[in-house]
Amino acid sequence: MSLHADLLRQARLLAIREPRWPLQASLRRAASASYYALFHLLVDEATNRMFPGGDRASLRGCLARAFLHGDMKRVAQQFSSGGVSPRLGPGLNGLELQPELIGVAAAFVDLQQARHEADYDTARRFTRKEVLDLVDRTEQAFRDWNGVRRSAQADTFLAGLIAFGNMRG
Amino acid sequence: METTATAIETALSELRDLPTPVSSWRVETGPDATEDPAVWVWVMLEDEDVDLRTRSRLREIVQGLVRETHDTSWVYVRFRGASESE
Repeated sequence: MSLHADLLRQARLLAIREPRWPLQASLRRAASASYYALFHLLVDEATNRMFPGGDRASLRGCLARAFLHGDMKRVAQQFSSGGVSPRLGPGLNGLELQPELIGVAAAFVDLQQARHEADYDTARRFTRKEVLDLVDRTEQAFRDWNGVRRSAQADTFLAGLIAFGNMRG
Repeated sequence: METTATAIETALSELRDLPTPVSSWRVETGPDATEDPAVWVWVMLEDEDVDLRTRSRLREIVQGLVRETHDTSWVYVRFRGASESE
């Protein structure tokens, strides 16, 4: 199993771990794992496009360290709102964004914020349904991604995730 | 920001024909993790089991309303069961 698939599975297990009174620790880790499942799915897709093959695994690992959460959020917000920056626009080649890709981008933004709250905001209280919704959205984002991952729009999204912060006007 | 939250809550409570019944709304405003001005909406669902598709439609309605009436791109919608409300 891949890291992203394992994280997604772990997220659901943690969300339902205590049958009656879920621990905040379990719910917070489930929210965090949901985000990182989608994060690592997208990082894996991007790095594999650039350096495929078993003998490039270490290089992909190095490249994976270049992804910045804040920049990724900016790009995901652009794709979720349909307002893709002119810096990335040429990659779309005039093609419209698919609803599935918009869904992935929107889920990414939301999950990243939830992860931040889960890891740092101790005043926030999570509920099981709230966290299961995050897990459901992550699973849906995985399905949506599978439907569009070979498209030019998906490639443009991935290019933005890794490099948007360094793209100049 | 308090006024904004109250105004959004009022607007949400006036929504009709929602995909699933909502028992109450809770709205907070403030900076998000990347310091962007953001709005959080907690939706207390009357039904305990609402499928993802229905939640997604409701999420879009809420985000649309907030973005139409307030100058923010960042709207986080979270769902809770009525039994989980604080």
